[in-house]
Amino acid sequence: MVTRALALVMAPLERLWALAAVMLVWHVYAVIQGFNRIVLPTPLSVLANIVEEWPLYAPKLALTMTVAIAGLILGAALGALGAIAAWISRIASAFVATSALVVRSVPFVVFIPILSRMMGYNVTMEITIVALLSFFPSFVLVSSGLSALPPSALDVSRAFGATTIKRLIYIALPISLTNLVAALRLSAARVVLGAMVAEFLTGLDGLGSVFLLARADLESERALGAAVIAAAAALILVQVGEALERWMNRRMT
Amino acid sequence: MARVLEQGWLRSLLGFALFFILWETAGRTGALGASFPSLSEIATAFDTPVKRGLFTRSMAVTVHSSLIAFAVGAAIAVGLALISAVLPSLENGIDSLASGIYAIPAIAFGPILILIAGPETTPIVLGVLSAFFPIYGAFVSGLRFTPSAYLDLSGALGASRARAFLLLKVPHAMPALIDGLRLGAPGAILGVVLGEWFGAPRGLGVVIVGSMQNVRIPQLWAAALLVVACSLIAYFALSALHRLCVRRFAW
Repeated sequence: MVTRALALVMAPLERLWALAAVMLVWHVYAVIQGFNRIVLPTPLSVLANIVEEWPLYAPKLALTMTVAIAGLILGAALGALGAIAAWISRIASAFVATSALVVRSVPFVVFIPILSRMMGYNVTMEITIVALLSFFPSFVLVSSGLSALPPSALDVSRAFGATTIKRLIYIALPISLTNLVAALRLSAARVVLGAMVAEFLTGLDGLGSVFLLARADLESERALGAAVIAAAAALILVQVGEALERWMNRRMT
Repeated sequence: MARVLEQGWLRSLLGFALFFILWETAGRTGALGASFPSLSEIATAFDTPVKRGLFTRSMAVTVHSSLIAFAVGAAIAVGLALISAVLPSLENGIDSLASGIYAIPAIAFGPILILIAGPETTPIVLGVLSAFFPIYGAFVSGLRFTPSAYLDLSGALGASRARAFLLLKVPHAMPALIDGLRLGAPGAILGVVLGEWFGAPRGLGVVIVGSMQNVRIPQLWAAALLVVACSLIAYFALSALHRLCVRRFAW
């Protein structure tokens, strides 16, 4: 009984000790250096600031996350549609190989300044950037799902005279759905970054622009508050993505 | 014509030619707006010694920071992966720290790094953070999934755990490690450029933001394309190493 209770307490500790250690190092460093609050606030003072100024942060968090999630879904959906189109027209392999390479090797974030010049500093640009970040992983993963369809399933359906469309609806789509969800989980970490970098560079309203304003006004606590909130929101989004993926895998297998 | 298309490299060459012709046309006609220049217009960003000097200096800074970031990130990743393989009780904590660092958008580290490390070192630290995860993840999974038949055999032959680790697990994880390295290299460059946006004095990232703010379109494109080029070069160089390594360690 006691050991089970102890295990319950220890389980999160076993996973979180390293994060706790980072917080502790930050705190001790700030205290030892004797920095004032402008130079380096302690974790506790940042948390206090978040609680105190929550009404200020909340709408910015909502803006950033709305853009991030909208772009994530839009990009992933377009990527999946593109993969299906490429699969039907049988041109997939060339495009998929190139996209897979691009997604692994090109740092898309450097295009944010270019896109914001091309489209103007507005929310459409921000969503486009986020969608671009989530498009390629979805295109690549859904394509690889489609190309890995069990040949026997396709043979059977062909033997029964199913059309390409029917094969798509009954065989390809259900299988590629798991890959689409995997792509969502993979991109979840990237989309908050994309949205915030766009806000940071162009001054569009959101958590990213808090960095900009806080820096100009030397308000370190607020910049760190926005950073902690953004980190927490991104972690939650990734967790949601992982949960969705687990749920989908359970249903599909 | 059909036979020409069957040649893989010729087909990619044709693909690239088509891509560049389309780009040039779109730029000259202004089909995608004034901020989408033709390739020849982008080339004007390099047409005087002064302009070229700006790019050489900035690129030297960015490449230098990226190399340091990549080396440090790789060293930390390899070290932590080895620790978590040797001391399983620390494994979960290191894992969640690593995936936490991965999930947190790199830009969120910016404000605290500016305070602790200063604007000149921030790019390197952000580069380390972004390079770290793919390398750690790949090496850890390489170390964890040694085929059990090999481990059984080495156990039966009386190899100690340390020997099995050094002679079996680590070599088996080498291709995975190099795969992680080739993902980590573009990550390092991305992190460095991102860090340069937090007020670094020099670097390609500084040129990008400066050109964006001053609407210097060819210079903006040139700097962004140079970053992409660095990233591709690093990726392909490590891909070559990966092929060598797979050949060497393929069992």
